[in-house]
Amino acid sequence: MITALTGFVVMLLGFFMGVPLAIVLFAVGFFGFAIIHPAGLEAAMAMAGQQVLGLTLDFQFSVLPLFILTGSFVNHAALSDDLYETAHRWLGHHRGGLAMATIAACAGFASICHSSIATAATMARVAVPSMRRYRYADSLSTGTVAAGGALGMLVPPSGALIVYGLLTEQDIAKLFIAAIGPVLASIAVYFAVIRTVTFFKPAAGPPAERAAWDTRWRGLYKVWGVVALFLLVMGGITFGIFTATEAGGIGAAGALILAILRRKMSWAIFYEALVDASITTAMVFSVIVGALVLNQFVNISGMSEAVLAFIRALHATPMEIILVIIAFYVLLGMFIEGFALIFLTVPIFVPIVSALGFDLIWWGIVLVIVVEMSVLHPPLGLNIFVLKSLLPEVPLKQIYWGVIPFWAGDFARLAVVLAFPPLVLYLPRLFLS
Amino acid sequence: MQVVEIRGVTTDSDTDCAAATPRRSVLERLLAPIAALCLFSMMALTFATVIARYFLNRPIAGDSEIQSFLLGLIIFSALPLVTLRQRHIAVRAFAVLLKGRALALQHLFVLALTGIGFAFIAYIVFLQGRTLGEEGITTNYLDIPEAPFAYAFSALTAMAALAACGLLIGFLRKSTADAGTDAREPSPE
Repeated sequence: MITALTGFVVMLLGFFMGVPLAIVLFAVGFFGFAIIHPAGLEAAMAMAGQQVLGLTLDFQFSVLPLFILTGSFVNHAALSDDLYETAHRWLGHHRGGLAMATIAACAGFASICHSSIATAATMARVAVPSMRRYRYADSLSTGTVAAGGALGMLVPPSGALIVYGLLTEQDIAKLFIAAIGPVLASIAVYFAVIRTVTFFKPAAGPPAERAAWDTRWRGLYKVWGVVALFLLVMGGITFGIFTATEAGGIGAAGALILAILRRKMSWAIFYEALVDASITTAMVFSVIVGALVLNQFVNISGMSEAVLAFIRALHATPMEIILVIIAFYVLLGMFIEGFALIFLTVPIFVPIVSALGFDLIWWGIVLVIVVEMSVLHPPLGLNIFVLKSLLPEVPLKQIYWGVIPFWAGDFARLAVVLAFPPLVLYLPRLFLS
Repeated sequence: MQVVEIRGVTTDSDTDCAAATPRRSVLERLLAPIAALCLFSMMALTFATVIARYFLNRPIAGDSEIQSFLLGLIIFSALPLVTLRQRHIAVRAFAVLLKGRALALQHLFVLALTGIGFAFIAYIVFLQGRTLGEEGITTNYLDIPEAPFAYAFSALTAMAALAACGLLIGFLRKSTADAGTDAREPSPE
């Protein structure tokens, strides 16, 4: 236990000194394992070697680069303008309608792009100028884009869910399908947030003119590519036609064809997209390898059992323990965010959550929602800074004020997922039982 | 997926420092096309596998084995590029508060640990490759020996370590040159 705690302290020190996560996780896992294991360094060498090659030579993990590549191609296909325009036509005439359209367009874009920051950055360019034209308050428009971008982490096929699935050996297809209910609930919650904000402050989100029905249908026709790609990938997974990995290949090829059809692809862009996706793949996999080595150390250190025994001695109910873990995540999320939070905490908390008898598919969804919250709140709030860098004229304080109602909404959707696990688990059981 | 995401979380790209080493262009020119080709092949193979199985009813033999080697090649050939472009995932919440000499020391510390870390991992993968070679491990279907791939991955990881060393040397040279320039500048008085 002392070795485990020392390892944890060293790990935090390494993190906060800015050492790459891959190296910190690997080093702590390796040396911790060597200290505890009776065969010492020799056992640690063999274990680490097997982990590195085991992960990088497992074809099932090719799901990750393929979805990264899909996002890379989609980013070049300039689909965001059409998505926003269509959502605008359908929702714009309501009070706060353009903000709701932004949330809908963010969810649509994330469903094929798989990146939270890319979604926020793209939508900031498309939606904020339009909302300004209709005299929306900057706080509402920027808060909406930041929140809509964060939602992108959960929208399937989600990169965060793939990484969680790889780390915990959970079925990625199940995770994708499990996310559908919570995503719809999240959109409803965010719509409610926008309606509430504009109820108390109608000037923040005045309605736009109502679009004629034929204009609305024509708008839907413009986004056929996005709808087709999403239905192909998610439909294929949901009905068991192909695996998550195959869906990644289909998605990437589909995104490439879409970009070519829209005349947005050149050889230079094509090459750059491939290289960029490869680099992101290496970046993520190097940390996954580190996290898996750390996992081995945590397993033999008895740390999870000790923490669990301590928690049991408190005579708390499993749900109370989950709430304490979530509170810890929210606190930690103030300083560490996004993927770093997943890599740091999954090896430690997943065994505990599993021992408490909770479904790890459900926990994956809860985890991603908590991680989404980490990119939205002070003092760091990655999405807030992305918006600030894209819209330097908007004061940071206004973006913070704009984000606060959505953060409250995040607690609401987290509560819904915690209180009604069937919202997460019903669909995967129905389709992939 | 998280193409920009992770870059946003992590990067404080030090382009001056990266440009200071000539290895960047050589490694980039050598490895980026390999990674790109492997990733494209992976996409094409997956797509072809689905088409072959569902429409032609003829599965591609050993596709998963080729897929797994492609995955390894993508990861390891892009690893030195991640190091060169300084895009490793890291928490920089506190490092950004540093200035001047403290920041330089932190940068040196991080680059040194990155270099040592990857050199060590390269060694571990090399040992694993030797074990695979001694035991004559091959893939089940296509009978491809795994050891040569492990050696290649080890060499590529060593290149990532060298890339970190190159950045470290570049950074030291630049710091020394800056210090020299500062010393030669006349005082405002």
